[in-house]
Amino acid sequence: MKLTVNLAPPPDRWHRLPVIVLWSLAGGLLVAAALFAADGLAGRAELPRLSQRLAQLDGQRAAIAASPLPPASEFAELGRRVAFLNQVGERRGWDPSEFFAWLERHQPDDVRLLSLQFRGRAGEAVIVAESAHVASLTTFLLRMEREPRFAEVMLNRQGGRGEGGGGSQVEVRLRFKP
Amino acid sequence: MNPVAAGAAGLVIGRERIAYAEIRRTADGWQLVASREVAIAPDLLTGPPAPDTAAVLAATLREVAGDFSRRYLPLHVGLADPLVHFAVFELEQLPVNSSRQAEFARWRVAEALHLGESVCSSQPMGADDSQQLLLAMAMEGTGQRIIASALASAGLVPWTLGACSGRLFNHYQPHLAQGAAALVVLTPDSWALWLCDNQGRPRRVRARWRRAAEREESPAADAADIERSVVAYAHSRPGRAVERLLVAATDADDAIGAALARLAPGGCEFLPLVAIASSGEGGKGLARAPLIDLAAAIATAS
Repeated sequence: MKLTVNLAPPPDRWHRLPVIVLWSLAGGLLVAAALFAADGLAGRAELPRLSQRLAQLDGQRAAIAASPLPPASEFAELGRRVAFLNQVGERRGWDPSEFFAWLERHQPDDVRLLSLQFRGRAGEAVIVAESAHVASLTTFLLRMEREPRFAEVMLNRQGGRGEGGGGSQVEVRLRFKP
Repeated sequence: MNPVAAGAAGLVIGRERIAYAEIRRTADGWQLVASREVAIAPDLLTGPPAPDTAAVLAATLREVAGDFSRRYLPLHVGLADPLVHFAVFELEQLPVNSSRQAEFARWRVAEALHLGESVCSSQPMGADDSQQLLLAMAMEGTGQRIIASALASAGLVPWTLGACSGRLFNHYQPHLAQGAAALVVLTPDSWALWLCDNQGRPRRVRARWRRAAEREESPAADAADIERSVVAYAHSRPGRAVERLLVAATDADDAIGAALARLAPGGCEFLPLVAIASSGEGGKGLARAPLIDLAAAIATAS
């Protein structure tokens, strides 16, 4: 039997504080280590499934690598077609059908549209219209000038109607707002 | 108390001297790396305490321990045995928890040893027949406070504080567990007698200052005192016996040991202190004295 009796005074209470802090820290680290270990064990359980999945993906990658790619000329042709389609689809401002709908709503009944050049890429249109009454053409021009979605309305040409009839004819260039 | 350590220090506070020993564990055993011994006034601890007792003791401790306070090593402080009191109580039941046990031990010690205010530490020792054994080690409160205050002033934090023979009791435990035995620990200024049962548990502990050295018959008188205590213990109760008398002395030629060997019918078994070598080159100037060897021995005992 060993003696453990001891008359040494107990350490000052403040001296215990760092000991308590260190023990708490050590305990916290121990808990963290246990959590990491548990996490690692869980990951190890997932390992077979993940390995199988990786093998599948490796197989797919190998299959893709094995199939031959098209020749470079085919890629160049495809690139040209895509560029053309992009060019066709590119426009500024209005769509032609949208512009026709606007004309239908604002063009006076006694004004006739003789020609229309719709330049979508340039964002402008040139129309030639005539009417027996100058007042109707004036109204039409005013409506075009007041349309807020037109950036610019320019009267290119103005003159009398052909075939010696009365009234007048105008050529107007419209620039759409982008 | 002290797990296996690479080094330790022992400090013995005796009646007339204080000794310090620092040891280090090596492949060959223990090695003494520092030692010092300083004299103190004979009545510094045995006489009535003076206002400056703690300050004087602290100054002496600083001198003897050198720069120990700036290092971290387990420090075992052994007091001269007569400064510490032991008692073994036989109880029908132990107190329910440690705080009540401490309170009970303090009360019983004060009553049995007439100590008044005391500082006490207790330890259950198991059962003997239907009785529970409780060992108590106590010291007068004033004396303990003076020593604790002096140690603190000197920057020394004791790992253990107790009787020198208590530390040696642990060291000699394998010998004591071989049958009912009495262990006599002889130090330069005192002796202690540990009477143990056949399981190596202390059942009675007695310590006295040595009689004045100038009296020629003093060793024989001390030996006779020890013998009387052994006989009284053996006859105190049926079934009690002392089969072996073990003597551990700081001085191999201790006169009390020789007198005991003459008195005991079966002779004595002399137990050596822990063998501690002085360190190599640096150890040439190391002081070696019985009290220093005792300080080194209590540092090794776990």
